[in-house]
Amino acid sequence: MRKLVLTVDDSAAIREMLSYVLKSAGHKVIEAEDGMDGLQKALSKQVDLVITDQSMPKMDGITLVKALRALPQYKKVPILLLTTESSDSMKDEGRTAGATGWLVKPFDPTKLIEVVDKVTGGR
Amino acid sequence: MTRQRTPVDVSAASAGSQDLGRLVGRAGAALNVQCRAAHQELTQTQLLLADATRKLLDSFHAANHALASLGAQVDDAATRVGQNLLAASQHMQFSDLVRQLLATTEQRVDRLLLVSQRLQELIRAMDTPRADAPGNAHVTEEKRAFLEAVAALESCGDSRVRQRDTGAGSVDLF
Amino acid sequence: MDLSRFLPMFFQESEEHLAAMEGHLLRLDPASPDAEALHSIFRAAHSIKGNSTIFGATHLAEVMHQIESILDHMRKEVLRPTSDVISLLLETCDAVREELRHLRDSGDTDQTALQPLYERLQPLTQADAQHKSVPDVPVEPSAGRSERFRIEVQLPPSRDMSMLPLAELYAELGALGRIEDVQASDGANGAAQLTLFLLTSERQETVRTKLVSLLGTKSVRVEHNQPAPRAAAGEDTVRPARAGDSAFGFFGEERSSLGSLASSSGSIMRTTVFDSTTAGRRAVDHDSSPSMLGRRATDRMFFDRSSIRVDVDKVDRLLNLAGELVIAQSILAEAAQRSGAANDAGLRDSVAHVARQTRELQEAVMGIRLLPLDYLFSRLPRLVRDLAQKLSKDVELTTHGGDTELDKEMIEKLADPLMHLVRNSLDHGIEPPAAREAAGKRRRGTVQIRASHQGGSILVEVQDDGAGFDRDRILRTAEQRGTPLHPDISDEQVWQLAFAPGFSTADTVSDVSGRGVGMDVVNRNIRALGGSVEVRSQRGQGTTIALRLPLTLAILDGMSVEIGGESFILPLSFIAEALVPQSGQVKSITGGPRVVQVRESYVPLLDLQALLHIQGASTETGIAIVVEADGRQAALGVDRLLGQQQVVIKSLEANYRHVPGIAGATVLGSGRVALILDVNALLRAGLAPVKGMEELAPEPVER
Repeated sequence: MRKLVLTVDDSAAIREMLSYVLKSAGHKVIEAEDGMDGLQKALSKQVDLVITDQSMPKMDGITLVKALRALPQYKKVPILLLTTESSDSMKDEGRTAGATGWLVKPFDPTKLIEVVDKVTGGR
Repeated sequence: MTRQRTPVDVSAASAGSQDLGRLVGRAGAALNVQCRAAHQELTQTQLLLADATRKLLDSFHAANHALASLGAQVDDAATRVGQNLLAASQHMQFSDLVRQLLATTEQRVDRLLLVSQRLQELIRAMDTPRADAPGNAHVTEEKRAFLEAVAALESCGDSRVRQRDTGAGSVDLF
Repeated sequence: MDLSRFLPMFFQESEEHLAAMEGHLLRLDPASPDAEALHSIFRAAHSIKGNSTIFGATHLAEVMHQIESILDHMRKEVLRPTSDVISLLLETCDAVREELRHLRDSGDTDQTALQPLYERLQPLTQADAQHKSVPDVPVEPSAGRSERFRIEVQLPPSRDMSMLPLAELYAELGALGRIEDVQASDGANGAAQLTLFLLTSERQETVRTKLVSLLGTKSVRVEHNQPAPRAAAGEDTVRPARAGDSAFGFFGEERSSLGSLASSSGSIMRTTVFDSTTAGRRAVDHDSSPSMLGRRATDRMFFDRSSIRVDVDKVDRLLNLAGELVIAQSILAEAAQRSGAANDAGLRDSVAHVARQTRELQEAVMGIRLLPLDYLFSRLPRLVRDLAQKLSKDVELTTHGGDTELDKEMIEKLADPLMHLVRNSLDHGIEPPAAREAAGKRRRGTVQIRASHQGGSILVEVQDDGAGFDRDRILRTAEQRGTPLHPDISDEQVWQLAFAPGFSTADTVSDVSGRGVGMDVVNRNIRALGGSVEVRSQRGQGTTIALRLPLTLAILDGMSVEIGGESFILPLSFIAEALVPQSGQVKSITGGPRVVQVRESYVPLLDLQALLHIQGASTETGIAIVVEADGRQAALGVDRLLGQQQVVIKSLEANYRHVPGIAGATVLGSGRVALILDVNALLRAGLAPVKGMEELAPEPVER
C-alpha cells in the first residue's frame, strides 16, 4: 500500500537514494535536510512514516523523535532511525525516546522496503 | 657561528615549576593518545575510500557492460543494470561514514590545537610578570583556560563510526 | 612524556604554513593589500609560533610574533606592505625554513641564529607607537560564547500540545541556536509542559523576549542549564563545534585550525600574472570550462605525506552524480517497459544518457586521486622573481590551466623538470632588457606556462618570448661532438639534439642552471613518465617547450585493432574515419610513402608494421583508419577492426620500458596485454623524412 514517507538526512545523496528506493516501491516521499526542517515539514503535513538520520545540524534525530512524540498527531506514527551509529547506548536512547526502530547504514534497499512495509502495516 | 647543543624539549620553556610540569605531563599524555587515535581514523578513512572506490568501479563497469548489450535483450539488460546500480548505491553510502570520520578527526585535531595554543599562552604568561595583575591573576586565568582545553581534549571519545565490526545493515525493531 | 614523535608533523606543517605565507606575500598589492590575505598570513605565522613554543624553539616563536605584529600594523593601515617590507618578510620565511630544516636534520637549535633578522624586523613592529602594544594573549570575547538554557513552556490546564504554535516556536528557537533536547510531560493537574534545551550564543534576555512575544509571559521560563542534558561526549562529537567557543588572534576570527589554511581559488580557470619588479598582482579570471569537480580542498590530512588528500566536495559531487545516474536508470527502465523495442529512439537516448553519467562518475572517482597543477605552479612566481632579480632581467610569469588535474605521483615527478625549464627560459631564453629593447621587443620578457588536457594526455607548455634556440650553434656543437647528421634535418630534430647529455652551447657557465644540464635530464624524466618533450623555437622570437604526459589513471575509449596478428588499441579521440580502400585507391609517390585516397584527397598511409617492427604477414587488403593529431593527418593500415572498448591505461614505463610509438598498455578482458598506440609519435615518425622510430629518439631510455 502506498505511504507518505518523510525522509530526514543532511546528505543530499542519501536523501536521493532513499527517494529512489522508496519511490520504486510505490511510496510518496517528502524530504527534509535536518531535524528542524523535518519537524516543520511534519507539522505542516501529516505523514505515515518518518525515516531520519541521527547526526544532523540544527536538531539531531533523537531530539526529532522526542519532539514528534510530544505531538498528539505523531504519537503513533512509526519513526525509524537510519544512521551510521550502532552503539547499544545510542540505540537505547532511541528506544527510550520513542523510536520504532533503528537501522544501521549502509542499508540494503530491499531490506529497507521490507521494514517499511512491516512498520506501516502495509502489504 | 657555533651551534649549541640544545635538545628540543618542551620543558625548556620554563623550568622549575612543578605545577607546570604536571600540567604539561597531562597534556602530553592526552596529545599522545589523541594523535594516535586521529592517525588510526585517517588510516581507516583511506582504507574505506580505497575499498569503496574499487567496489564502485566494479559495479559501474558491470553496469556499463550491461548497457552495451542493451541492443539485444532490453528487459533483461535493464534489470541487470538496475540490480547493479542498487548494489552501487549501497556502496555509495560509504561517503557518510567518511564524512563522519573526517568530522570526528577534525574536531579531535581542533581540540589538540587548542590545547597547544593555550599551553603556549600559559607559558608566556608565566614568563612575563605583569604589574597590573596582582598575585599573578593572569597566570591563573591562563591555567584555567589551559585546563579547560585539556578537559575538552580528554573527552574526545572513540570514533563512533565502525564499518566492519558491528551492525552495518542491522535492523532493530523496538 | 615524549613529544618527539610529533616533530615530523610539526616540521611538515610549518613548511606548509611558510609556503602559504610566501604565496600571499608575493601577491600583496602595496596600494591596497587584500584583507583576507593579511588574515591568512597572520594565521599561518600564529600557528608556527604556537608549534615552535611547544617544542622549545622559542627563537622561531619570537620571530613569528614579530611577523604577527607587523601584519597587524598592515591591517590597521599603519604600515604599508612596500616591496622592501615584503622582501624582508620573504627573507624571514627563508631563514625560518632554513632553521627548521636544520632542526629537523640535526636536532639541535641555535637560539641566536635568527638574531640579525630579529633586529631588522624590530623597527617595523614598532611602526605603530600610538596604539597600545599588541596583547599576546588573545582575549576571549564574552559575546559569542555558547550557553545552555532550559526553556519550560507551560500549557494552560486541559490543553494539549497542539494548542501551541509549535512550528513557529521551533523555527524561532532553531534560528537562535541548536535544540539539544526535548522533553514533554503531562504535568500535575493535567497541565502539560514542554521542556526544551537550547544551546545558543544569544543572551538570556534575547531568548526570553523572543519566546514571550510568541507565547505570552505566563507560559515561558528560561533558565541557565550548565551540564549537557545528555551523555557527555555524545552530541558534539560528530558535529564539531563551530564559532563561539573561543577566538584567536587580533583579527577576531572564530578559530585557528588546519582546515582554514587552504587557500581557495574558485572553479573558474584562472590566469594569474606575477610581476617580478613589484609585489603587484593582476588576476585575470577566465570563465571558460569550469573544472567539473571544483577545487576547494577543505579537508587536509597532515599526518602522512603520501596520504590521499580527500576533497570532501568531490565525494559529494560523486554522490550527486550517482543520484542522477540512479534517476536516469529509472527513466531507462520505464522506457524499456513501455517500448520493448531496441530501436526506440527514446530508449537509445536514455542509454546514452546513463552511459554518459556512468563515465562522469568513473572520472569523478578517479578524481579523488588527482591534484591540480596549481600545486606546482604556486612555487614558480617566487622562483621567477628571485631569478630575474639575480640576472637583472625583467620577467613576467603567467600560468594558465592550473586547475588541470594530474595523478599525484606524476605531479611530484613533474616538479623538477618544470623548474628546470623555467630556469632555462630565464637564463638562456629571455634577453636582458637592453638587448630586448635593441631588438624592438618590450623590455619585459614573458614566460607562460599552459596546461591542458588533450585526448589521452596532459600537455604542459613553457613558452618564452626570448631569443629562441640558435639552430646554427646547435648544429655546430653537434658536429664538433661527432653526432651524425642527416642533410635534410628538420628544425624539430635539431632541437632534439640539444637533449643530449652534456650538450651545452652556453658561452659562460651560468651558476643559475648549470652547464645546460637541464635539457637532457628533463627529457629523461619526462620519458620515464611515459611522456614526450617537444621543442618549437624561432630565432629571435622565442621558444616553446611542450611536455606531453599520458594519463596513467585514465579510462580510454579505444578501438581494438589487429595488426600482423597482434592486438593494439587505438584511442578513439584520434580517429577521424575508417575505410576499406579499393584496389587503385592506394598509390605510391615515387621515392616516398604510400598514400590512400580519401574522397577527394590523398592521405599518407603509414606502414605500422615497419614503424613498430612487428613481425607477421603484411596484408595488402586491410582497413585504413584516418587519424588526426596536431593538425596533421595520416592513415594507419590495420588488418582488422576488433571492436570498441573502454580500457584502463597502465603506464608502460613503470612496467617495462618506453617503447617508441606506444603510449601504454592495458589488460584486455581475455587477460592478454594490448598495447596502446601513441598516435602523436607515429605521425611524427611516419611523416618525417627519416625512417623508423629510433632516429627520432637518439637516446635509449635506461631503466
